Amino acid sequence: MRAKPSLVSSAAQNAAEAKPPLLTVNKVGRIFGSAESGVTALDGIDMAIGKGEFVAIVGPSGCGKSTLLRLLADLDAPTSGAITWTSGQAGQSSVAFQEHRLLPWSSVLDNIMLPATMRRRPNEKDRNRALELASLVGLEAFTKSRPAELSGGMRQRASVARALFPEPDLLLLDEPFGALDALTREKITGDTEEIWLKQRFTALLITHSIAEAVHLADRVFVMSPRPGRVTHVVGIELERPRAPLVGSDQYNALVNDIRAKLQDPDHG
Amino acid sequence: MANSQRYLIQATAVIGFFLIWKFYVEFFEVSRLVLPPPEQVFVALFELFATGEIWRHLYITLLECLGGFAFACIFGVTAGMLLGRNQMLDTVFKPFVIALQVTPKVALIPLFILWFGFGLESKIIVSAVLAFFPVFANTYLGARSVDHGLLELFEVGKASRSRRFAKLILPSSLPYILTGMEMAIVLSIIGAVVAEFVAGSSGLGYLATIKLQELQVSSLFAVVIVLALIGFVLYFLVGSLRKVLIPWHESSRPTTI
Repeated sequence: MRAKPSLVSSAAQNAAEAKPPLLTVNKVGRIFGSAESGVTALDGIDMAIGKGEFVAIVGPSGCGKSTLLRLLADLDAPTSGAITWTSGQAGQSSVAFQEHRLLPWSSVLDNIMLPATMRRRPNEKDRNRALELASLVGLEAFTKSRPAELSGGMRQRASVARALFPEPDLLLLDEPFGALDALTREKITGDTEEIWLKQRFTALLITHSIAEAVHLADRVFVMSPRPGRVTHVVGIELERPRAPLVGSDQYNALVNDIRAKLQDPDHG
Repeated sequence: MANSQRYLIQATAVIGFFLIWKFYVEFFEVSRLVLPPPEQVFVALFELFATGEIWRHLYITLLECLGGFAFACIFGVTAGMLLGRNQMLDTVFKPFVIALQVTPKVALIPLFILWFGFGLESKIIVSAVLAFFPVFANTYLGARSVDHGLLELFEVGKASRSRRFAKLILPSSLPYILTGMEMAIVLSIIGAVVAEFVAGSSGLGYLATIKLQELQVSSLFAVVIVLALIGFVLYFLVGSLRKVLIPWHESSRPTTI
């Protein structure tokens, strides 16, 4: 079922209206295969993402989260509806993938400035920015190391730093911490929030972890599978930084609320 | 196993091989024309260098096989990249490449001599034709094995085609290219020597045919040993490119498991 206004909490609506939307996803659908017998991965997705907002999408496997991310990254085109950027032209998006996708032959520093290297010969400014980002994600001591010499958590940190390098209009996080152990994951989630609080980039996080979504997002979109639809939008109004709140009653209440909405898409 | 222990075992095996050879020749009274005893071969080998006879031939053969190897690398990598990354070129040229692979290229040597003469050129071309295929096939495989996730990353980053090639496809294919080159260097020597057999006036292949005609079997064996040593050194040199060019790759690490 389509997300009706009544399902969207007033807090979420306020959050959406308070900031100017960066982009609008309007009735977007994506069907794989032919129109008659194809698989509907996404159906009637509506969302507006505000500039500087951090939104999260949670949903079970196969609900089309990653399809939506690919559409936003311009790796794929919708079969119906449209994604409109308020500025009139498509903004630059940048992705931190579930796998780190670092170049095995390049140092951490070279990997972080890859977005520059992809287009031209990098200059001194690029190097400095990469060094800055390396220390932002806590890798200043490992700039010369190759990915194989790093731990899983460090690789994901490098991957996030690389995604931040081009100062993207929209940072897409495709479960970048999904493969990490719980402890590392909590630490890296807290660090990500701190970086966001400093830089206030617009971010969209795709995750299986409700706790992670509550920790990071201003609004959480709850999706249901087959076909992939947004069933609920939950505004998270906890004060930031939220690391001290993890495990508190109000934090757990939000997690439980979202979990209930995930399990029962018709939940009120 | 400790290194010193391993070297000891290997040295013992080599000495044992020569002892068995010597024993076999003496005990079964093998004709010197069929298989000379090892010490005669060593004397012949020493004489080849002492008289200076071999240097000119060694130089010519090295020139031929390194020239052939260089052409094989240039054309093999170029063709492998073009066909590996371009569906249209792959479709059009694949039948020709397969035809080239299955043709016994040695049979074409008389043709190459007809076209390019009896000099160095025809030998270099035979050597290059033989060495081309492993470079091509491995580069092709490498170009097709580029990680999909990394290609996607470069697509999101709006990388230009030339940057994508230089920064992703080429480095990612290097381990494959080097494997092809290791195979190619051996084939390039074979190509040069076989071409000299057929129509040479110098080179180690030519020298071997002369020694055979003169029934100097020990010298023939000595020439074969020199060829084997060349192969060993060149193969080692190409193999050590791995540590220089792809130190990041698994294959550059010592095997511990």
